[in-house]
Amino acid sequence: MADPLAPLLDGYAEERLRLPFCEDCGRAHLYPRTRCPHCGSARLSWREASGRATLASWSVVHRAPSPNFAGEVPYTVALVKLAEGPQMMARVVDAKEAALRLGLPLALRFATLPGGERRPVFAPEEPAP
Amino acid sequence: MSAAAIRGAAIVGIGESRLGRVPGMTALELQREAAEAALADAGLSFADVDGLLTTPVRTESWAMPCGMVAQEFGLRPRYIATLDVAGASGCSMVMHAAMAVATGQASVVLCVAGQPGLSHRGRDSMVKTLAGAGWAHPDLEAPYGPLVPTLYALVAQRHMQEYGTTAEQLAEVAVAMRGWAAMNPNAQKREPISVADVLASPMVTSPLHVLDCALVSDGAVAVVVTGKDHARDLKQRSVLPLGAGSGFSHGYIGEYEALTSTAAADAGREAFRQAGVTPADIDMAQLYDCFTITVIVELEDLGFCAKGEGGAFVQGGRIGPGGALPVTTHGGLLSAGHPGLAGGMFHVVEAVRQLRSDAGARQVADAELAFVHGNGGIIGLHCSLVLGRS
Repeated sequence: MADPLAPLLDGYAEERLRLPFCEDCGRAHLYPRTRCPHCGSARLSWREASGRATLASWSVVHRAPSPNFAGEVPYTVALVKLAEGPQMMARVVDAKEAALRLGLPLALRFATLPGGERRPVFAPEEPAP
Repeated sequence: MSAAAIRGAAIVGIGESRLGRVPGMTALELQREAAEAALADAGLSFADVDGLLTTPVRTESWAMPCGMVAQEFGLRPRYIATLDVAGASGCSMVMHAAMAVATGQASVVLCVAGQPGLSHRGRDSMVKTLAGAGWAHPDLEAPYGPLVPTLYALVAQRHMQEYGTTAEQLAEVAVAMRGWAAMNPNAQKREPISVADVLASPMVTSPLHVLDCALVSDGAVAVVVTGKDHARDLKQRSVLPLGAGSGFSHGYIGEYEALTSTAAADAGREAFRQAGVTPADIDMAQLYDCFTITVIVELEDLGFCAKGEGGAFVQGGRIGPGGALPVTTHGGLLSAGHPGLAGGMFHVVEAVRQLRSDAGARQVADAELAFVHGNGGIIGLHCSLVLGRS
Protein backbone atom coordinates (compact mmCIF):
# COMPACT_ATOMS: atom_id res chain seq x y z
CA MET A 1 0.00 0.00 0.00
CA ALA A 2 1.27 3.50 -0.80
CA ASP A 3 2.47 5.69 2.04
CA PRO A 4 -0.55 7.88 2.87
CA LEU A 5 1.84 10.69 3.76
CA ALA A 6 3.47 10.85 0.33
CA PRO A 7 0.92 13.11 -1.44
CA LEU A 8 1.09 15.61 1.44
CA LEU A 9 4.89 15.69 1.55
CA ASP A 10 5.10 15.83 -2.26
CA GLY A 11 2.77 18.84 -2.09
CA TYR A 12 5.00 20.52 0.48
CA ALA A 13 7.97 20.19 -1.87
CA GLU A 14 5.93 22.19 -4.41
CA GLU A 15 4.73 24.65 -1.73
CA ARG A 16 1.19 23.33 -1.97
CA LEU A 17 -1.01 22.26 0.93
CA ARG A 18 -3.20 19.47 -0.42
CA LEU A 19 -5.60 17.55 1.79
CA PRO A 20 -7.17 14.11 1.50
CA PHE A 21 -10.94 14.49 1.03
CA CYS A 22 -13.30 11.54 1.38
CA GLU A 23 -15.36 10.90 -1.74
CA ASP A 24 -18.06 9.24 0.35
CA CYS A 25 -18.60 11.54 3.37
CA GLY A 26 -17.01 14.61 1.80
CA ARG A 27 -14.84 15.46 4.79
CA ALA A 28 -11.13 16.25 4.77
CA HIS A 29 -8.75 14.79 7.35
CA LEU A 30 -5.23 15.11 8.81
CA TYR A 31 -2.90 13.42 9.52
CA PRO A 32 -3.17 11.38 6.31
CA ARG A 33 -4.47 7.81 6.73
CA THR A 34 -5.26 5.04 4.28
CA ARG A 35 -8.94 5.21 5.34
CA CYS A 36 -11.16 8.19 6.07
CA PRO A 37 -11.12 8.46 9.90
CA HIS A 38 -14.67 9.84 9.83
CA CYS A 39 -16.43 7.10 7.84
CA GLY A 40 -13.83 4.41 7.05
CA SER A 41 -13.97 4.83 3.30
CA ALA A 42 -10.88 4.11 1.20
CA ARG A 43 -12.07 6.47 -1.56
CA LEU A 44 -9.88 9.50 -0.92
CA SER A 45 -8.91 12.26 -3.31
CA TRP A 46 -6.40 15.04 -2.80
CA ARG A 47 -7.42 18.67 -3.30
CA GLU A 48 -5.63 21.90 -2.57
CA ALA A 49 -6.53 23.70 0.66
CA SER A 50 -7.56 27.37 0.73
CA GLY A 51 -4.63 28.24 2.99
CA ARG A 52 -6.95 29.92 5.46
CA ALA A 53 -6.81 28.80 9.09
CA THR A 54 -7.44 29.92 12.65
CA LEU A 55 -5.18 29.60 15.67
CA ALA A 56 -6.16 26.68 17.96
CA SER A 57 -3.21 26.84 20.40
CA TRP A 58 0.45 27.81 20.59
CA SER A 59 3.62 27.64 22.64
CA VAL A 60 6.72 29.78 22.39
CA VAL A 61 9.69 27.41 22.65
CA HIS A 62 12.64 28.83 24.59
CA ARG A 63 14.81 25.70 24.83
CA ALA A 64 15.95 23.97 21.67
CA PRO A 65 15.05 20.27 21.47
CA SER A 66 18.31 19.65 19.56
CA PRO A 67 21.34 21.72 18.46
CA ASN A 68 19.62 22.19 15.08
CA PHE A 69 17.12 24.56 16.65
CA ALA A 70 19.50 26.44 18.97
CA GLY A 71 19.83 29.40 16.59
CA GLU A 72 16.06 29.76 16.22
CA VAL A 73 14.79 30.08 19.79
CA PRO A 74 12.39 31.53 20.70
CA TYR A 75 9.94 30.32 18.06
CA THR A 76 6.21 29.67 18.12
CA VAL A 77 4.92 26.14 17.61
CA ALA A 78 1.18 26.18 16.98
CA LEU A 79 -1.89 24.11 16.27
CA VAL A 80 -4.01 25.60 13.52
CA LYS A 81 -7.49 24.68 12.37
CA LEU A 82 -7.75 24.77 8.59
CA ALA A 83 -10.84 26.30 6.96
CA GLU A 84 -11.46 22.82 5.46
CA GLY A 85 -11.81 21.33 8.98
CA PRO A 86 -8.68 19.41 9.94
CA GLN A 87 -6.19 20.56 12.54
CA MET A 88 -2.42 20.44 12.07
CA MET A 89 0.79 21.45 13.78
CA ALA A 90 2.73 24.35 12.28
CA ARG A 91 4.51 27.49 13.31
CA VAL A 92 3.14 31.00 13.60
CA VAL A 93 5.56 33.53 12.12
CA ASP A 94 5.67 37.34 11.96
CA ALA A 95 3.47 37.76 15.00
CA LYS A 96 4.21 39.08 18.48
CA GLU A 97 3.37 36.68 21.29
CA ALA A 98 1.05 39.27 22.87
CA ALA A 99 -0.98 39.43 19.63
CA LEU A 100 -1.77 35.71 19.63
CA ARG A 101 -5.29 34.64 20.60
CA LEU A 102 -7.62 31.71 20.09
CA GLY A 103 -9.29 31.95 16.68
CA LEU A 104 -6.78 34.43 15.23
CA PRO A 105 -7.19 34.30 11.41
CA LEU A 106 -4.06 32.97 9.72
CA ALA A 107 -2.76 32.63 6.19
CA LEU A 108 -0.52 29.92 4.75
CA ARG A 109 3.12 30.41 3.86
CA PHE A 110 6.00 28.02 3.38
CA ALA A 111 9.32 28.06 5.21
CA THR A 112 12.45 25.96 5.37
CA LEU A 113 12.88 24.54 8.88
CA PRO A 114 16.23 23.92 10.62
CA GLY A 115 16.30 20.27 9.51
CA GLY A 116 15.98 21.43 5.88
CA GLU A 117 12.30 20.43 5.52
CA ARG A 118 10.03 22.72 3.49
CA ARG A 119 6.84 22.98 5.56
CA PRO A 120 3.66 25.06 5.92
CA VAL A 121 3.79 27.89 8.45
CA PHE A 122 1.15 30.50 9.16
CA ALA A 123 1.13 34.27 9.63
CA PRO A 124 -1.68 36.54 10.85
CA GLU A 125 -4.04 37.22 7.95
CA GLU A 126 -4.07 40.99 8.45
CA PRO A 127 -0.66 42.53 9.01
CA ALA A 128 -0.55 44.47 12.27
CA PRO A 129 -1.17 48.21 11.73
CA MET B 1 -13.42 -8.59 32.90
CA SER B 2 -16.14 -8.04 35.41
CA ALA B 3 -15.71 -5.85 38.44
CA ALA B 4 -16.19 -8.93 40.60
CA ALA B 5 -13.13 -10.61 39.06
CA ILE B 6 -10.87 -7.58 39.64
CA ARG B 7 -12.00 -7.80 43.24
CA GLY B 8 -10.48 -11.27 43.55
CA ALA B 9 -7.01 -9.70 43.62
CA ALA B 10 -5.05 -7.94 46.35
CA ILE B 11 -1.95 -5.73 46.46
CA VAL B 12 0.27 -7.30 49.11
CA GLY B 13 3.70 -5.77 48.58
CA ILE B 14 5.18 -2.42 47.57
CA GLY B 15 8.77 -1.33 47.12
CA GLU B 16 10.81 1.62 45.93
CA SER B 17 14.48 1.80 45.11
CA ARG B 18 16.39 4.90 46.09
CA LEU B 19 14.92 7.70 43.96
CA GLY B 20 16.50 10.82 42.48
CA ARG B 21 20.21 10.75 41.69
CA VAL B 22 21.44 7.21 42.29
CA PRO B 23 24.77 7.01 40.46
CA GLY B 24 26.36 3.84 39.19
CA MET B 25 23.21 1.73 38.96
CA THR B 26 21.90 -0.13 35.91
CA ALA B 27 18.17 -0.47 35.26
CA LEU B 28 18.32 -4.07 36.48
CA GLU B 29 20.11 -3.13 39.69
CA LEU B 30 17.50 -0.45 40.43
CA GLN B 31 14.68 -2.86 39.61
CA ARG B 32 16.22 -5.51 41.86
CA GLU B 33 16.32 -3.00 44.72
CA ALA B 34 12.60 -2.23 44.24
CA ALA B 35 11.53 -5.85 43.64
CA GLU B 36 13.37 -7.18 46.71
CA ALA B 37 11.81 -4.42 48.81
CA ALA B 38 8.31 -5.24 47.54
CA LEU B 39 8.71 -9.00 48.07
CA ALA B 40 10.17 -8.49 51.57
CA ASP B 41 7.27 -6.15 52.32
CA ALA B 42 4.85 -8.94 51.35
CA GLY B 43 6.80 -11.65 53.16
CA LEU B 44 7.53 -13.40 49.87
CA SER B 45 10.63 -14.21 47.79
CA PHE B 46 11.44 -14.53 44.08
CA ALA B 47 10.70 -18.27 44.46
CA ASP B 48 7.04 -17.43 45.08
CA VAL B 49 6.68 -15.30 41.92
CA ASP B 50 4.98 -17.02 38.97
CA GLY B 51 3.90 -13.88 37.10
CA LEU B 52 5.95 -10.94 35.82
CA LEU B 53 5.01 -7.63 34.24
CA THR B 54 7.48 -4.92 33.32
CA THR B 55 7.89 -2.02 30.88
CA PRO B 56 10.47 -0.98 28.29
CA VAL B 57 13.33 1.28 29.43
CA ARG B 58 15.06 4.11 27.56
CA THR B 59 18.50 3.67 29.09
CA GLU B 60 19.36 0.21 27.75
CA SER B 61 18.82 -1.59 24.46
CA TRP B 62 16.62 -4.49 25.50
CA ALA B 63 14.96 -6.51 22.75
CA MET B 64 12.57 -8.12 25.26
CA PRO B 65 12.39 -6.29 28.59
CA CYS B 66 10.32 -8.92 30.44
CA GLY B 67 12.85 -11.59 29.45
CA MET B 68 15.79 -9.47 30.65
CA VAL B 69 14.12 -8.88 34.00
CA ALA B 70 12.99 -12.50 34.46
CA GLN B 71 16.50 -13.74 33.70
CA GLU B 72 18.06 -11.28 36.15
CA PHE B 73 15.78 -12.44 38.94
CA GLY B 74 16.03 -16.14 38.02
CA LEU B 75 12.28 -16.36 37.38
CA ARG B 76 10.47 -18.97 35.26
CA PRO B 77 7.05 -17.27 35.25
CA ARG B 78 4.00 -18.97 33.73
CA TYR B 79 2.57 -15.47 33.11
CA ILE B 80 5.03 -12.96 31.62
CA ALA B 81 4.70 -9.81 29.49
CA THR B 82 6.16 -6.41 28.72
CA LEU B 83 3.49 -3.76 28.97
CA ASP B 84 3.81 -0.31 27.40
CA VAL B 85 1.09 2.29 27.68
CA ALA B 86 3.71 4.94 28.46
CA GLY B 87 2.89 6.91 31.60
CA ALA B 88 -0.23 4.85 32.24
CA SER B 89 1.89 1.69 32.54
CA GLY B 90 2.05 1.71 36.36
CA CYS B 91 -1.73 1.65 36.79
CA SER B 92 -2.15 -0.65 33.81
CA MET B 93 0.38 -3.22 35.10
CA VAL B 94 -1.53 -3.46 38.37
CA MET B 95 -4.83 -3.76 36.46
CA HIS B 96 -3.40 -6.55 34.29
CA ALA B 97 -1.78 -8.29 37.26
CA ALA B 98 -5.17 -8.30 39.00
CA MET B 99 -6.75 -9.78 35.87
CA ALA B 100 -4.03 -12.46 35.63
CA VAL B 101 -4.57 -13.47 39.26
CA ALA B 102 -8.34 -13.36 38.94
CA THR B 103 -8.29 -15.64 35.88
CA GLY B 104 -5.81 -18.10 37.37
CA GLN B 105 -2.96 -17.29 34.98
CA ALA B 106 -0.69 -16.60 37.95
CA SER B 107 -0.86 -16.68 41.73
CA VAL B 108 1.81 -14.07 42.57
CA VAL B 109 2.52 -11.33 40.00
CA LEU B 110 5.53 -9.03 40.36
CA CYS B 111 5.09 -5.68 38.58
CA VAL B 112 8.41 -3.88 38.35
CA ALA B 113 9.85 -0.98 36.33
CA GLY B 114 12.61 1.59 36.53
CA GLN B 115 15.72 3.04 34.95
CA PRO B 116 18.71 5.32 35.68
CA GLY B 117 17.15 8.16 33.66
CA LEU B 118 19.25 10.88 35.29
CA SER B 119 22.64 9.23 35.73
CA HIS B 120 22.70 7.28 32.46
CA ARG B 121 23.78 10.22 30.30
CA GLY B 122 22.43 13.18 32.23
CA ARG B 123 19.22 15.20 32.27
CA ASP B 124 19.77 17.07 29.00
CA SER B 125 20.45 13.83 27.17
CA MET B 126 17.19 12.30 28.45
CA VAL B 127 15.25 15.44 27.43
CA LYS B 128 16.78 15.14 23.94
CA THR B 129 16.07 11.41 23.79
CA LEU B 130 12.43 12.05 24.65
CA ALA B 131 12.17 14.87 22.07
CA GLY B 132 13.21 12.33 19.42
CA ALA B 133 11.22 9.39 20.79
CA GLY B 134 8.29 9.74 18.41
CA TRP B 135 5.84 11.63 20.65
CA ALA B 136 5.89 14.31 17.97
CA HIS B 137 5.00 12.98 14.48
CA PRO B 138 8.38 12.52 12.76
CA ASP B 139 7.34 14.23 9.49
CA LEU B 140 4.44 16.49 10.47
CA GLU B 141 5.43 17.75 13.94
CA ALA B 142 9.09 17.16 14.83
CA PRO B 143 10.41 19.42 12.01
CA TYR B 144 8.75 22.42 13.74
CA GLY B 145 10.90 21.85 16.85
CA PRO B 146 8.53 20.99 19.71
CA LEU B 147 9.90 19.63 22.98
CA VAL B 148 7.77 17.00 24.68
CA PRO B 149 6.79 19.78 27.14
CA THR B 150 5.67 21.87 24.13
CA LEU B 151 3.09 19.22 23.28
CA TYR B 152 1.60 19.64 26.78
CA ALA B 153 2.06 23.41 26.64
CA LEU B 154 -0.38 23.42 23.70
CA VAL B 155 -2.96 21.88 26.05
CA ALA B 156 -2.10 24.36 28.80
CA GLN B 157 -2.32 27.40 26.51
CA ARG B 158 -5.68 26.29 25.15
CA HIS B 159 -6.98 25.70 28.69
CA MET B 160 -5.89 29.22 29.68
CA GLN B 161 -7.54 30.71 26.60
CA GLU B 162 -10.79 28.77 26.94
CA TYR B 163 -11.29 28.82 30.70
CA GLY B 164 -9.21 31.70 32.00
CA THR B 165 -6.80 29.38 33.82
CA THR B 166 -3.75 31.33 34.99
CA ALA B 167 -0.02 30.67 35.27
CA GLU B 168 -0.43 31.13 39.04
CA GLN B 169 -3.01 28.33 39.13
CA LEU B 170 -0.69 26.01 37.20
CA ALA B 171 2.07 26.92 39.66
CA GLU B 172 -0.18 25.95 42.60
CA VAL B 173 0.06 22.33 41.42
CA ALA B 174 3.87 22.40 41.56
CA VAL B 175 3.79 24.04 44.98
CA ALA B 176 1.39 21.37 46.32
CA MET B 177 3.59 18.55 44.99
CA ARG B 178 6.65 20.07 46.63
CA GLY B 179 4.75 20.41 49.88
CA TRP B 180 4.05 16.66 49.87
CA ALA B 181 7.59 15.80 48.73
CA ALA B 182 9.03 17.71 51.69
CA MET B 183 7.51 14.95 53.86
CA ASN B 184 8.74 12.09 51.63
CA PRO B 185 12.26 10.99 52.64
CA ASN B 186 12.77 9.30 49.24
CA ALA B 187 11.79 12.38 47.16
CA GLN B 188 14.32 13.96 44.80
CA LYS B 189 13.34 17.60 45.51
CA ARG B 190 12.28 18.48 49.05
CA GLU B 191 13.02 22.19 49.58
CA PRO B 192 9.81 24.24 49.67
CA ILE B 193 8.84 26.42 46.69
CA SER B 194 6.28 29.20 46.25
CA VAL B 195 4.04 30.23 43.36
CA ALA B 196 6.48 33.11 42.79
CA ASP B 197 9.38 30.62 42.55
CA VAL B 198 7.56 28.66 39.85
CA LEU B 199 6.77 31.80 37.86
CA ALA B 200 10.36 33.03 38.22
CA SER B 201 11.85 29.72 37.03
CA PRO B 202 13.04 29.76 33.42
CA MET B 203 10.36 29.52 30.73
CA VAL B 204 10.81 26.27 28.79
CA THR B 205 7.91 26.43 26.38
CA SER B 206 5.17 28.92 27.19
CA PRO B 207 3.18 28.76 29.41
CA LEU B 208 5.28 26.02 31.10
CA HIS B 209 8.27 26.98 33.27
CA VAL B 210 10.95 24.55 34.42
CA LEU B 211 9.05 24.01 37.68
CA ASP B 212 5.85 23.16 35.73
CA CYS B 213 7.68 20.12 34.29
CA ALA B 214 8.44 16.67 35.71
CA LEU B 215 11.89 15.77 36.96
CA VAL B 216 14.28 13.33 35.29
CA SER B 217 15.26 10.66 37.80
CA ASP B 218 16.99 7.41 38.61
CA GLY B 219 14.76 4.90 40.33
CA ALA B 220 12.59 1.83 40.23
CA VAL B 221 9.35 0.69 41.82
CA ALA B 222 7.59 -2.63 42.34
CA VAL B 223 4.17 -3.92 43.34
CA VAL B 224 3.20 -7.51 44.22
CA VAL B 225 -0.34 -8.66 43.39
CA THR B 226 -1.87 -11.94 44.47
CA GLY B 227 -5.28 -13.50 45.10
CA LYS B 228 -7.36 -12.20 47.97
CA ASP B 229 -7.36 -15.64 49.64
CA HIS B 230 -3.58 -15.96 49.47
CA ALA B 231 -3.24 -12.38 50.75
CA ARG B 232 -4.73 -13.31 54.12
CA ASP B 233 -1.62 -15.39 54.98
CA LEU B 234 0.85 -12.63 54.12
CA LYS B 235 2.64 -10.00 56.14
CA GLN B 236 0.72 -6.81 55.33
CA ARG B 237 -2.87 -5.77 55.44
CA SER B 238 -3.67 -5.98 51.75
CA VAL B 239 -5.12 -3.25 49.57
CA LEU B 240 -7.85 -4.20 47.13
CA PRO B 241 -8.42 -3.04 43.55
CA LEU B 242 -12.11 -2.19 43.53
CA GLY B 243 -12.29 -0.88 39.98
CA ALA B 244 -10.10 -0.29 36.94
CA GLY B 245 -10.61 1.34 33.57
CA SER B 246 -8.69 2.59 30.55
CA GLY B 247 -9.38 5.19 27.89
CA PHE B 248 -7.76 6.31 24.64
CA SER B 249 -8.34 9.25 22.34
CA HIS B 250 -5.25 10.00 20.22
CA GLY B 251 -1.61 9.35 19.48
CA TYR B 252 -0.44 12.75 18.21
CA ILE B 253 -1.61 15.92 19.92
CA GLY B 254 -1.73 17.68 16.52
CA GLU B 255 -4.69 15.51 15.55
CA TYR B 256 -6.61 16.03 18.78
CA GLU B 257 -8.99 18.94 18.40
CA ALA B 258 -10.65 18.62 21.83
CA LEU B 259 -7.23 19.32 23.46
CA THR B 260 -8.51 20.12 26.96
CA SER B 261 -11.03 17.26 27.34
CA THR B 262 -9.39 13.85 27.53
CA ALA B 263 -10.18 10.14 27.69
CA ALA B 264 -9.31 10.26 31.39
CA ALA B 265 -13.07 10.70 31.63
CA ASP B 266 -13.63 7.23 30.11
CA ALA B 267 -11.00 5.53 32.29
CA GLY B 268 -12.31 7.19 35.44
CA ARG B 269 -15.97 6.54 34.70
CA GLU B 270 -15.31 2.81 34.29
CA ALA B 271 -13.16 2.56 37.43
CA PHE B 272 -15.76 4.43 39.51
CA ARG B 273 -18.59 2.32 38.06
CA GLN B 274 -16.88 -0.96 38.94
CA ALA B 275 -16.08 0.26 42.44
CA GLY B 276 -19.58 1.62 42.93
CA VAL B 277 -18.28 4.95 44.22
CA THR B 278 -18.09 8.56 43.04
CA PRO B 279 -15.34 11.22 43.23
CA ALA B 280 -17.01 12.60 46.36
CA ASP B 281 -16.27 9.29 48.16
CA ILE B 282 -12.50 9.45 47.44
CA ASP B 283 -10.17 10.28 50.35
CA MET B 284 -7.10 10.95 48.20
CA ALA B 285 -6.34 11.06 44.46
CA GLN B 286 -2.90 10.00 43.24
CA LEU B 287 -2.98 11.77 39.86
CA TYR B 288 -0.31 11.56 37.18
CA ASP B 289 1.56 14.86 37.17
CA CYS B 290 4.03 14.95 34.28
CA PHE B 291 3.21 18.67 33.97
CA THR B 292 1.16 20.98 36.16
CA ILE B 293 -1.56 21.25 33.48
CA THR B 294 -1.98 17.45 33.50
CA VAL B 295 -3.31 17.49 37.06
CA ILE B 296 -5.77 20.31 36.34
CA VAL B 297 -7.19 18.52 33.29
CA GLU B 298 -7.39 15.21 35.18
CA LEU B 299 -9.23 16.76 38.13
CA GLU B 300 -11.86 17.97 35.65
CA ASP B 301 -12.13 14.90 33.43
CA LEU B 302 -12.23 12.50 36.39
CA GLY B 303 -15.09 14.46 37.91
CA PHE B 304 -13.43 16.02 40.96
CA CYS B 305 -14.57 19.38 39.59
CA ALA B 306 -16.39 20.69 36.52
CA LYS B 307 -14.66 21.22 33.17
CA GLY B 308 -12.83 24.53 33.19
CA GLU B 309 -12.79 24.81 36.97
CA GLY B 310 -9.55 22.88 37.60
CA GLY B 311 -7.50 26.06 37.95
CA ALA B 312 -9.75 27.51 40.61
CA PHE B 313 -9.99 24.07 42.27
CA VAL B 314 -6.24 23.86 43.01
CA GLN B 315 -5.98 27.39 44.42
CA GLY B 316 -5.21 28.07 48.06
CA GLY B 317 -3.34 24.82 48.64
CA ARG B 318 -6.46 22.73 48.14
CA ILE B 319 -4.60 19.68 46.75
CA GLY B 320 -1.52 20.05 48.98
CA PRO B 321 -0.87 19.05 52.60
CA GLY B 322 -3.87 19.94 54.74
CA GLY B 323 -6.00 20.63 51.66
CA ALA B 324 -9.57 19.44 51.05
CA LEU B 325 -8.50 16.84 48.44
CA PRO B 326 -5.00 15.43 48.98
CA VAL B 327 -3.51 14.83 45.51
CA THR B 328 -0.37 12.83 44.69
CA THR B 329 0.80 12.72 48.27
CA HIS B 330 4.35 11.44 47.65
CA GLY B 331 5.20 14.55 45.64
CA GLY B 332 4.71 12.98 42.23
CA LEU B 333 6.71 13.28 39.06
CA LEU B 334 7.10 17.01 39.69
CA SER B 335 8.96 16.65 42.99
CA ALA B 336 9.43 13.02 44.14
CA GLY B 337 10.86 11.72 40.87
CA HIS B 338 10.17 10.48 37.34
CA PRO B 339 12.25 7.49 36.21
CA GLY B 340 10.49 6.95 32.86
CA LEU B 341 7.66 4.45 32.50
CA ALA B 342 8.08 3.54 36.18
CA GLY B 343 7.00 7.05 37.20
CA GLY B 344 3.27 6.36 37.37
CA MET B 345 3.65 3.26 39.55
CA PHE B 346 4.96 5.37 42.43
CA HIS B 347 1.42 6.78 42.55
CA VAL B 348 0.06 3.25 43.07
CA VAL B 349 2.64 2.54 45.78
CA GLU B 350 1.75 5.77 47.54
CA ALA B 351 -1.96 4.95 47.50
CA VAL B 352 -1.21 1.55 49.08
CA ARG B 353 1.01 3.16 51.70
CA GLN B 354 -1.71 5.68 52.58
CA LEU B 355 -4.42 3.00 52.77
CA ARG B 356 -2.21 0.99 55.16
CA SER B 357 -1.69 4.14 57.30
CA ASP B 358 2.06 3.80 56.65
CA ALA B 359 2.68 7.23 55.08
CA GLY B 360 4.40 8.83 58.07
CA ALA B 361 4.32 12.63 58.25
CA ARG B 362 2.20 12.90 55.10
CA GLN B 363 -0.45 10.39 56.22
CA VAL B 364 -3.97 11.40 55.20
CA ALA B 365 -6.25 10.83 58.18
CA ASP B 366 -8.86 8.06 57.85
CA ALA B 367 -7.81 7.19 54.29
CA GLU B 368 -10.05 4.34 53.16
CA LEU B 369 -10.58 4.92 49.46
CA ALA B 370 -7.91 6.01 46.98
CA PHE B 371 -8.10 6.91 43.30
CA VAL B 372 -4.99 6.42 41.17
CA HIS B 373 -4.61 7.74 37.63
CA GLY B 374 -1.93 7.25 34.99
CA ASN B 375 -1.63 9.24 31.77
CA GLY B 376 0.34 8.07 28.75
CA GLY B 377 1.63 9.80 25.64
CA ILE B 378 0.48 13.34 25.02
CA ILE B 379 -2.53 13.09 27.33
CA GLY B 380 -4.02 10.50 24.94
CA LEU B 381 -4.05 7.24 26.93
CA HIS B 382 -5.38 6.83 30.45
CA CYS B 383 -5.72 4.17 33.14
CA SER B 384 -7.55 4.59 36.45
CA LEU B 385 -7.73 2.46 39.59
CA VAL B 386 -9.94 2.69 42.64
CA LEU B 387 -8.20 1.06 45.61
CA GLY B 388 -9.65 0.30 49.03
CA ARG B 389 -8.66 -1.11 52.40
CA SER B 390 -9.25 -4.81 52.96
